[in-house]
Amino acid sequence: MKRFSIAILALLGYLTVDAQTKKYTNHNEFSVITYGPAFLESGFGLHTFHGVQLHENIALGLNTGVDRYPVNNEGSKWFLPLSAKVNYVEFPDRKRSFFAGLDLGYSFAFLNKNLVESNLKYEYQGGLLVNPQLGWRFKFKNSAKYWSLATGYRYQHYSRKDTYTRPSANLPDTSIGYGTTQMDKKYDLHRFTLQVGFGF
Amino acid sequence: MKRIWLILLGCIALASCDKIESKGMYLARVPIFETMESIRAKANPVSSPTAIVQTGKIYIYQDYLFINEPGKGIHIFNNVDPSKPLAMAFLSIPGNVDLAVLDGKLYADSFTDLLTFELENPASPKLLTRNKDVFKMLLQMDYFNNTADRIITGFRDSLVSYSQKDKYSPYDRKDIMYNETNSGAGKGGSTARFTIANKHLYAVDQTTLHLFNVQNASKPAYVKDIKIGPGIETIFPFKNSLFIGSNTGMVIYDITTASAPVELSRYAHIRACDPVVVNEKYAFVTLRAGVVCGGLQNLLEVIDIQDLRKPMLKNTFTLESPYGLALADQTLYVCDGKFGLKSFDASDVSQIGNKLLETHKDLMSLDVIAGPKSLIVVGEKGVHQYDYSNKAKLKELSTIPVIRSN
Repeated sequence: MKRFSIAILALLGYLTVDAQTKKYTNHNEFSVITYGPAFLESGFGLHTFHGVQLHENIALGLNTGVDRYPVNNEGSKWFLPLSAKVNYVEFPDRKRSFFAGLDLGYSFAFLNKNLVESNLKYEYQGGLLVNPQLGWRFKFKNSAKYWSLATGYRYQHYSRKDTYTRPSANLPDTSIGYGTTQMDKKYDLHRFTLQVGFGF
Repeated sequence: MKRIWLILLGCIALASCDKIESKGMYLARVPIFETMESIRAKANPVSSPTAIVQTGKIYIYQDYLFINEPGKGIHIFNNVDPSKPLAMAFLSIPGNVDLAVLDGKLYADSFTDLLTFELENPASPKLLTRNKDVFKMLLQMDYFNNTADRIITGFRDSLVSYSQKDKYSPYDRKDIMYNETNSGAGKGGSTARFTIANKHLYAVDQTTLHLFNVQNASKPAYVKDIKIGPGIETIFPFKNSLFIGSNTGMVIYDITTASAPVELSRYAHIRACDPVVVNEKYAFVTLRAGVVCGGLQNLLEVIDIQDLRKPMLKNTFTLESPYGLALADQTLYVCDGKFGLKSFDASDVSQIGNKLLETHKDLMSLDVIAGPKSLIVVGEKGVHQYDYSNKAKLKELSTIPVIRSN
């Protein structure tokens, strides 16, 4: 987490300085985050990318937004992602071009309530986010603006820690006074994404 | 476009599942296992009388009263005078839950073994025979054991760690689970129920009737096992019939040929715990609802058994939490759990439930025997004896107290 914060701050500093000399670029996307093509138990994401053109084909910047994932019958989990993103556009001048992007960052889990009941306290912690994407971008007529259609893979890690102030009576021996004292759950979500975007 | 489809398929192949790893700690009652060999080696049956901590099955033979302490052994009392029962000995039998006596020989289970004791001097019973491994399947606290190498002799509180890995995808609802729990625990109890009829000892466990020939009383001979079905709880002999109560019904066997019981009929009822008593014409069955027994109703059922092949429900009465029951002439005594001991006039079976004679509200009762000298009731606080010469008005004679350790 410390290294991540340093890297993001360094990138932010670099972008701030470089924005003076390099061209600013923006890409906003709506994502359907799902398990597969039938869109069962789908979530969604809204992301906004702000960066600079390092090269006519390559942009580097920060991507942030909000994600919602339904997780294994445990309800929906919300995250605030913050990632470094690199975008590659094959033919930036053409009306239609293939493009690829890679997000690498961290998602914060503070949007999920840390529950405290009389006996149980559970808290969420965010984790690593990786989101490669491939797609096409289509320029509007006589404009630098474009819309995009992409697909990708999204990996999200997070964890939940349950602590019982006294043993719960729900597992696995129901005798009063027995049960779980603590539980750590680690989630690795591997999802398929379909993204529609708009940028300039 | 080809490229797009390749990209899409590649992404789908990568995606589509969640992996969830859980690691936790829980407090559990972890069983302590012993082998029958070591249990047998430590056997030292007779000791001086000790306080009763928990009551189990009660049994009367001549002027002696036997009170089982579940899993521990048998307390023996001289009950010549029911108003002053005298503790004589404690017969330490690990894993004992039931007993029966015939011709001066006491039969008792010890986990998988059947023990036979000489009762010539009840203050010091002598072990005559040990039939090894005759109760092959034990249900002990939810553990089914079919080997003498894994007998649960106790429990200890332990902090248990476990880890579990799950995969989840809505496209594949079969959750794959890798359970790495290093131990487990459950709840419940072992049951074995004994009765003697026609020189044969019948013992039932959860599913099976075990049959022993005790014509040579000192040396029971194992005859065979008969599979009955799940949830067996009680066994009650009457003349040449055996009434076996399970939590789903009552099975009637003809034991005219004692070594070869013949199933006559099965009477099915709602799921509940089910003790049975019988007279010439009727079987009286109490059904208790609850977590252990299943079911939702607490009832007394009167079943017409004049044709043993076609038992028919005659009447049903509502009770509150019935356990054991006993029949003495025309009076039916019902242990109604924390609602007390109740007596009913059974002269007209169609009106039993409406003819309550007496309620001992303060007597949390579980089992009852109508003995020749006294009515013996197992309650929460002890074993109580009553003069029941006046069936409608019980008179307390004595109480053997239960002294709980905590």
